[in-house]
Amino acid sequence: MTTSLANIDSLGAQDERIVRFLKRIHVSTYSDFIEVLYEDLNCCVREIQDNAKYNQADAVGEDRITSNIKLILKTMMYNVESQFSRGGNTDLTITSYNHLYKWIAEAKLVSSVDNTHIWGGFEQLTERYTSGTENQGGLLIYIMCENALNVMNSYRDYTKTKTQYKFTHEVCADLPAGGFFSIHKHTASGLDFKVRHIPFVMYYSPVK
Amino acid sequence: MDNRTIIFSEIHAHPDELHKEIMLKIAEYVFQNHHVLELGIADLKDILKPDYADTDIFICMQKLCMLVPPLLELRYEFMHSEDDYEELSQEEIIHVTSKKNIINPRSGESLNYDSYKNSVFLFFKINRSPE
Repeated sequence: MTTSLANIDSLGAQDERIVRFLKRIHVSTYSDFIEVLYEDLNCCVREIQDNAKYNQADAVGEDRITSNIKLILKTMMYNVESQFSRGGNTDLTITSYNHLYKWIAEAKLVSSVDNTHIWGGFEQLTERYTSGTENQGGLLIYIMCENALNVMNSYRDYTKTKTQYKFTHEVCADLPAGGFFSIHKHTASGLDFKVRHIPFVMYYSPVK
Repeated sequence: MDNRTIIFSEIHAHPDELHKEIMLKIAEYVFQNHHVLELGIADLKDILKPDYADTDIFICMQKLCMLVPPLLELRYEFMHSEDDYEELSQEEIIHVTSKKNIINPRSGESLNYDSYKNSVFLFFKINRSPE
């Protein structure tokens, strides 16, 4: 028995992962890679948020969340590397299955509005970990307090005070709790660099 | 390290236990049956015990295409008639599925998407270079 594209549609209706894997296999440009990766990261955000209870802040809270994201992405056949430093920052390097395309993210955990802390992650991402030749990166913001939207809006306003970057901002409709994109000229490459600022709504404090 | 060792080591490192189990069985079958050149879901349903869902088998075949080196390669062909097939490139498939602008690859005749989907078949070619 062979499998037609029509059969794939029906298998895909039973399990959406089949369609997602086809998209990953068909990636043939960096922008294809980014498009599919961003959809896959949306799945990661949902999965992590659904399990917020098990991902609460403690001595390794930030690393645990990043480590769980890494596992989810590995089941999707991405190559993922992360570096954990004690009490410090975490970066996540994701490469396509064929090692042709790469995307780097910096992770920050916040327990309140903490613009300077998140901004530190942005600087690490753009000034230390990337050269800007691959023109996109990300900031994973694990928000452990109430009102993630407020944390993100405050941080987004804060970036507007960094006038030397001449940011352009775009709303990220897939991430309604304040997700957004920023675009600026990368210091190293001189090319436009687009950062996806990704909120993870992690507040968990059931009253009962 | 030879390809077989690399492939098994990559499968063993896979975090999804069910898919790891299925992929290991497929890889063992492939390396024990050198005459087999292509695989489909139906072939594997006969080979794999116990029964697994078609969707899991298909996802595992896709995952085996994404190893480095790949164990399988996803290929497409257009069926003109029962014994007349023409292989399509991945680029053609991407173009068609994204643009829905479809022609018969031989005659140039315009096709509707539903008819196209019933005429294009996937198969998984085994990558036997060099084992």
